[in-house]
Amino acid sequence: MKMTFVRSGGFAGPMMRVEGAVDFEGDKAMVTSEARKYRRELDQDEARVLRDAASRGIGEAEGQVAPDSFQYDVTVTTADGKTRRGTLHGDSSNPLIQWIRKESDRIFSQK
Amino acid sequence: MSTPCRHSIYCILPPHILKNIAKNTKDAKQREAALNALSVDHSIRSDRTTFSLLGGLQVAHAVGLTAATPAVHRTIYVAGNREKLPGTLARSEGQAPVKDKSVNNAYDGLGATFDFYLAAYQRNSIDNQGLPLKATVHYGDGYNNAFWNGQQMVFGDGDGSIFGDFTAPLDVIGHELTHGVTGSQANLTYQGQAGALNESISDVFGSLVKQYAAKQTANQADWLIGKGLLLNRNDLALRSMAKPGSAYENDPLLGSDPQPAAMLRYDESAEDNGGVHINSGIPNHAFYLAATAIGGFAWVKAGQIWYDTLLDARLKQSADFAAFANLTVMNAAQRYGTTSIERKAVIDAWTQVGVPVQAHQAAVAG
Ligand SMILES: [Zn+2]
Repeated sequence: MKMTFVRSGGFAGPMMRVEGAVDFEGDKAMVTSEARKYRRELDQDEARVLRDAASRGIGEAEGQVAPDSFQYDVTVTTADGKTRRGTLHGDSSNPLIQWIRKESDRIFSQK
Repeated sequence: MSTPCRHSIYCILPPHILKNIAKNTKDAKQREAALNALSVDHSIRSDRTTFSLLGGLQVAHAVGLTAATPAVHRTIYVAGNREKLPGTLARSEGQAPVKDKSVNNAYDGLGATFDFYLAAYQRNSIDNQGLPLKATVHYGDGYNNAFWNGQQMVFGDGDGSIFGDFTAPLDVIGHELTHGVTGSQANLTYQGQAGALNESISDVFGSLVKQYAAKQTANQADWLIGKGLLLNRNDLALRSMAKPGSAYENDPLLGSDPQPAAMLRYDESAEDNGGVHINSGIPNHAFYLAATAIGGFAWVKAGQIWYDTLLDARLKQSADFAAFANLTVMNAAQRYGTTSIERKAVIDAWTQVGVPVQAHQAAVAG
């Protein structure tokens, strides 16, 4: 399974754009962001939680977009080759978006 | 301080309707009920009114109907690095400064923005009805953003390595508060060209708040947005209205500013709601060109034309650049005359950024 994501928007706009990919392999996963030369291997627990969240789906956009909130575009490709795409905004409580938010900050700040 | 809202139907009516009832009804009981509801504490009313400022029920405005003398009413909360809004009350209107710099920044910035709108355009707060201004600081953990959620302004501390405190630059506060103003007026859809106009209007008036506070003319102003927000990059900003695409260049972490200055480089990306923070460079630059061509303080004439346009009933939620541009030309003519240098400056500005305007007076509004 593979997941790719792009964070865009926010008050600062394009300078904060982050894209990343997660490759799930066995019970582990690797996060990479080529543009920002970032690599992080997830431990088994984090990989399992993320795989579950990604498998459950991206969800639907809710209501109005708050100005200057972030936009998250997510694509999940499962082992059978099926692809699902979704776009969410803001500080969604969706656990998948929560993870992408944190990881995007990590990638952006090089932490 | 407040009168209980005894007639429930009056509690849910917006102030302008209550004022109309109070003014026009011949029924003394109805009039009393409307006046009672109007006097209910703003803090109770604010949540209902602000609900409408993000695309819900549109608030209409009637200039000159505001009941009381305009007065700012600020409330600043701290989120304690959590993401729960509004957080803990830290400073209310009239209270002395506190130890927390972000709280004071937000308090002062909201005050400066309120003063600007009142002095320049006789606008009484976000909704022109004296809406209390609410802001939360220290939102999230190292949160690199500020936003308007339809009810209040929210400011992060920044991560401390790339971004500093989002309450520090005055234009950031002016920008966010202006999203509330736009939401209560044209309520431009936050997508594509309408979204880029929404962003641009926030940059324009955010910059004018800064210029007004510094008493700078159009030629003295730096026309930069968010200068001082980036740590260890004191000369850089997030956007340049004078020269879109030049706010930062070849930065190892931030890359290069991709904002276009003209339609030739319009970004068709679906990201960021259709590039609203990128394509805003085009109307931003048009405003800069018009303001510097007119000269003097930018909020006096160019700002007035843009403000008139924002309030123009012909400006649709889905307006594109051309629709907005044509309305600015019409409003320039309306206020300064069809042969005025102001109208010519506006036409020339839009022409220079590649947005077609009709030089005649046809009603074109999106
Ligand atoms: Zn904005």
